[in-house]
Amino acid sequence: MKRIVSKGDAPYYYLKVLLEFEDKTMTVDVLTFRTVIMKAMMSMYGEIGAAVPIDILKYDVETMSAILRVAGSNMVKLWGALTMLSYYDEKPCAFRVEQVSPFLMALAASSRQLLLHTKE
Amino acid sequence: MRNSEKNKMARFCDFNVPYSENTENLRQIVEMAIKLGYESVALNCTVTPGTTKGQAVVPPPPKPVELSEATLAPFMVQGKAFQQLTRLTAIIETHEQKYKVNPNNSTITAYDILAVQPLNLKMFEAACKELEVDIISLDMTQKLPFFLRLTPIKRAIARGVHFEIVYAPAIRDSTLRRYVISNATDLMTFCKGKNIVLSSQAEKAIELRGPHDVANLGVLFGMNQAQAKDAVSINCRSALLHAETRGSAVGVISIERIMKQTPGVISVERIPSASTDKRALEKDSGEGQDREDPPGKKPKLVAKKKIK
Repeated sequence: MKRIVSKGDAPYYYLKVLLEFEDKTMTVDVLTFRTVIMKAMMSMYGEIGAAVPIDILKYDVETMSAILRVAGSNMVKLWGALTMLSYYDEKPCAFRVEQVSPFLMALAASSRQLLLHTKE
Repeated sequence: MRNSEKNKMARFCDFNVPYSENTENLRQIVEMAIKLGYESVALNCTVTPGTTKGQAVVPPPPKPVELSEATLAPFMVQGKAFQQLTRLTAIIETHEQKYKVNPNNSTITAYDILAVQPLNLKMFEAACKELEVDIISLDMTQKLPFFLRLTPIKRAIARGVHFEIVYAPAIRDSTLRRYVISNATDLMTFCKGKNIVLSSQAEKAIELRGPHDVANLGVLFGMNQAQAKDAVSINCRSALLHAETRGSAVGVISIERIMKQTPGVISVERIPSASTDKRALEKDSGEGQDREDPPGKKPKLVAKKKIK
C-alpha cells in the first residue's frame, strides 16, 4: 500500500455534489449542469469567478450527481457559490454538497451517511 | 431532550424554522432538515409585543411537527433522537415592548429559546447589556438602521448572548444576499467570529442547506473554519443551555448569624510556640511558675493590643 503524506495546501479539492430541483422530474445533461455551475459562480463572483477552472470528473444524469475538481485555493469560493444558488431557469433548485475531500479516493465512502436520493 | 444529551458534541442545529399554520410546508422543511443531517430544529414564532392592551398577545408555543417512523429511521439506527424546540422572537422598538419581554411571563418561559430583534440602537444596546435573552437577531436583509458598536457587542458576548445570522434570504434573492453578506461581515469585525449562530429562516424546504454548506458560508462571512462549524453546532447548544439557566436562575439568599460576639474580645487559645519544646511544657506544669515571662504568653499580649 502506498502511503501519501500531504504537506500544506492540497493542490486540488474534490467535491461530490448533487443538484436537486424542487420539481423532482427535472433532469439536466452534463452541459447544462456545467452551465448551472458557471452561472452560480458568475452570480456570486462575476467574471473572475466564472474564470475559475472547474472540472467535472464524473456525472450521473439519473441522480444529477457529479464529482467536481477545483484548485484548493478556490474551494471555498466554489462551495459558497453552489450553496447560494437557488434558481436555474426560474426553477427553484439547490446544490447538496455531499462530500469534500483533498483526495479523490475519500469520496469512495461517505462518513456523513447522508441518505440523499435513496432509490425506492 | 434529556435522553439525547449523550450525543451532544457535534449536533447540528437550525434554530430558525419559521412556524406557520401551513403544516404540510412545515413538515416538508423539518423532513428536509433531517435529511440534510440536522439533529435539532427550533420552530420560530415572531411577535411584535403590543404597546396597548389586547394587542398581539404572545401565542402559546407551537406543537412539534408530527413525523413518520420512516423519517426518523436514520436516527434510530444511530441511537440518536431528533429534537424539536420552540423559539420566540420578539421585535422590539420601544421601551414598553422591551418590558414585555421579561422572563417572568409564563407564556414566554414556555418557549425553549427567547430571541429579540431590536429595531434601533437603544433597543440593541438594551438587548446586549440587560435583557435576559438568548439570541439577538438583527434583520440583515436591509441596511442596518444603526451602526454596530464594539462595547455592547463585547458585553453581550461576555454575558453569553448569541448573535444570529440567517442565510435563507441570501439564497432567495441577490439583492438581499448583498445586504446579508455586508451586514454579516460587518458584525464579524466586532465579534470576531465568536458567539454567532447561523440559522436558516427557510420558508421552503428547497431553501434549506446542509450544515457543512452553512459552515462554509460562515467562512465566506469571515469566520475561520472552526468558528464556522461551531456556529451551526456548539454555539446553538450553548444558546440552548443559556436558555435553560435563564429559567433556573431564581435563587434564594439566606443570612444567618453564626455566633454572638462582644466586640473587641476574642478568646485566644494559648498555643506553645515552636521554641518552647517538651522541657518548657514540663516547667510550665511544675516549678516553671516563678518565671515571669514565659515565651508562650507573648502572643496573647500582642493579640490584645492589635484588637484595641
